[in-house]
Amino acid sequence: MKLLEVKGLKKYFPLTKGFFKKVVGYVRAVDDVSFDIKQGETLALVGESGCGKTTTAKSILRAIDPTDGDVILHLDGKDVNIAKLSRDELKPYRRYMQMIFQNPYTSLNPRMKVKEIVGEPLLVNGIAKGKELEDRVAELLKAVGLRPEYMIRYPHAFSGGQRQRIVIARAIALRPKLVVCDEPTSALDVSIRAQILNLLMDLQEEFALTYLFITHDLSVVEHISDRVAVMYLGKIVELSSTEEIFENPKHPYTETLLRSVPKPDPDLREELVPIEGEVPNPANPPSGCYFHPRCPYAKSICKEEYPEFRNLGTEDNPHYVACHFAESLKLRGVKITL
Amino acid sequence: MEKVLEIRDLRVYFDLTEGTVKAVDGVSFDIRRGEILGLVGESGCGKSVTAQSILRILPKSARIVNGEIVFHRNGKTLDLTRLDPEGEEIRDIRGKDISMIFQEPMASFSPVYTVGAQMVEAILLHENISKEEARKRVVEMLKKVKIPNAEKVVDMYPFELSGGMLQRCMIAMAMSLNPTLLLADEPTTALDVTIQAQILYLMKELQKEYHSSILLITHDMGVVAQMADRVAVMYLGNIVETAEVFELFKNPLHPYTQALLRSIPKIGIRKTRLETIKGMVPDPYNLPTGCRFHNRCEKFMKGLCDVKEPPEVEVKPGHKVKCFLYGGEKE
Repeated sequence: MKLLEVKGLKKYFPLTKGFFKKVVGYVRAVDDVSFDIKQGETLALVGESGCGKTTTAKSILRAIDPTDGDVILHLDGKDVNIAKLSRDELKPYRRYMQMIFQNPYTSLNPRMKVKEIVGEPLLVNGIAKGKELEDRVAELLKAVGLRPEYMIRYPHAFSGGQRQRIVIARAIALRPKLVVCDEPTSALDVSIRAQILNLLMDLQEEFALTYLFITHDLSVVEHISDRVAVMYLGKIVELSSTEEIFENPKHPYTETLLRSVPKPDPDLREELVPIEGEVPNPANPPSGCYFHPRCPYAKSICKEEYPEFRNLGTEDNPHYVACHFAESLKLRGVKITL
Repeated sequence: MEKVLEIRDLRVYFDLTEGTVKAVDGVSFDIRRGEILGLVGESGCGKSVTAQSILRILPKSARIVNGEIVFHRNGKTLDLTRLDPEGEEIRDIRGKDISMIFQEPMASFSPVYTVGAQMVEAILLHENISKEEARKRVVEMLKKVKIPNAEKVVDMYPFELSGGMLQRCMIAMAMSLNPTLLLADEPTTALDVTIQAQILYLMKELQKEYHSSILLITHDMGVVAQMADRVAVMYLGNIVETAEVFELFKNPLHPYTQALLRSIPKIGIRKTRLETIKGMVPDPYNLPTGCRFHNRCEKFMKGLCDVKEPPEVEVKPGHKVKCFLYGGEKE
C-alpha cells in the first residue's frame, strides 16, 4: 500500500541580477522527480551535496513551496495532494509528516527545556496538556532511550547523540505517518551513529513509521533502507531495491558512488580509484545526460540526449534507470552478505 | 626504520573556567620516514590537539605539561616542546619541514587574497627567490595536484573555487616546500565521497613522489584502512592501540578498537541491527579512573581496570596495546 506518491516534483530557484532583481535563469534544484513510498518502508535518497536531496524533502513537507508537481499522501483511504493545498488547508495534515534534522546542535532551541521541546507539538495540536502532557513526554523520552528525569534540562546539558534522541522524540510525538530523516547520523561520532540507526529501526517497528531517509553515506543506506533512489543534479538517475542497487547497479554514477566509499578493510585498497571532475553547477547543467562529463562510459549520444528514465527490472522488483547504455553496460556492484 | 618524529609521554592540558581538561594525557608514538601513520579516534579524543602540539599552534588556554616531541632534522634532533611558540626556530620549521592540511578548506584560506598570493607568500617566507620564480613554482604545484587551468586558478579568490579544488590548493601549498612531515587533520571530512576519493588518491600519489611522512588524522576507519601503513587508535587522550594496518584490522586487540570496528556499518554486510558501544564518551572534566574505557568496556575487570591505568604492552613486534587483558597487572 502506497503512503506517498511524488509525481513530477520540481523546485526552481530564480537567479537574479542587478538592482531590479531581474531573473536571468533558474537553478533547477529538483527537476521532475517522481517516486512513491509504501506504508512502513524506508526509501533512501542518496547523492552528493547540492544534488537536491534536501530540497526534495522540504518540498514534500511543504517547508518550501514546490514550483510544480504533485505530492499525494494517502491517509486511511483519503488522498491529499500536499503540493496543491493552501497554507491553511495544509495545517491539519502537517502532523502526519515530520522531520529529523542533520545537526542536533542547531535544531533544538537552547532556551527551551526538553519538556517544552518534545511537548510543544502535543500542546499546539491540542492533544495533551498539564500532567497528561508530562506523562506523554516521559513516555516519548523512554521510547528514544532517555531517562524521563531529563525533561527538566536544557539542550546544552546533552551530548550530540542524546540531542539527536530528543529531536527524534519530538518528531514522533504526534505519531506521524511519514518521517523525513535528513542525514540524521552525519554529525555524530561513529560509536554513537550505530545507536541512533538502531533506534530509528526500532521505532519504525514500534510505531509503524515510514521513512524517507536522506543521506550521502551508502554504508548506512544498506542497513536501513528497503529501496534506494540515487540523485544527481536534481534528477533521480536510478531507483530500485537496496539489493539491486548494491549488487547490480545499472547507472555509472551509482557504480562510482559505491566504489568511492573508503572500505574499512585494507585488503580492498585497489578499489579506491576515483573518477575525474566535480559535480557541475546546477544553474548550468551539461547538455544531454548530466553525468556525461564525468562518465567513463560516455559516448556521443550522451552529450546530446537526456536518457529516458525506464524500468529494466520486473513488475514485482522494478529497477528504474536513466542511462542510454544501461542494458549493455557491465557495472561492478558490491555483493551483499547477510 | 628511520624515525622522523618521536613523541614521548606528551601531556597537554587546557585550563578552563569549568576545570582542567586533560586533552592529551601520556601519548607516545613515532612517525617513520616515508610512512602514513593514521591517528583515529572520535571527536574530543585529542587527535587534533596532538597535531597542534607538534606545530606549536595550540590555543592560548592549552599548555604542554609534560613530554617531548623530538623532530629529526638534517641529522640533528630538536625537541619541539622546548621552542618558543612564537620564536624564529619553530617558524622556520612550520610550512617548510612540517606542514599541515586542515579540515575546512573554505575556512583555512584568507578570503581577501588570491589563492596564488597566499601560496607565494608561504614559499617566500622560507626561500630566497624572486616573486616570479615563486609564482612559477606555485603554478607547477597546482598542475601537480591536477587543477585544471592552473594559470587561471592562481589568480582566483577562494570563494571562486569549490571545496575539492581548495583542498587541492591547500595540499599544493603544504607540499610546495617538500616537507619531511605532513600533518593532515581530517583532510577529506568536509568533502563529498567522489571528491574524497580523488583527494585521498592524490595524497597517496604525492606521498610516493615526495617520500614525505604523513600523520593522517581521521575518525573514518574506511579512510585509515585505505591510506595508512600503521594505525594508532586514540581514546580520551590516550593511545590505546598501535599496529600495522593489516594487523590492526585483522587482529584488533583493545576492546575499544574491536567495538569500533564492529559498530561501523560496512558495505556488503547487511545486518538488521548494528552492534554498538554502550554508553557515551565521558565528560572531559571528569574522566574515569584507571583505564578510561572501563565504564564502556565489555571485558571490564572490577578492582583492576577501574583502579589502575594499564601500561602499554607489546603483544607482537609492532603491535602495542594498553589493556590489562594482555598483561601488565603485576607492576
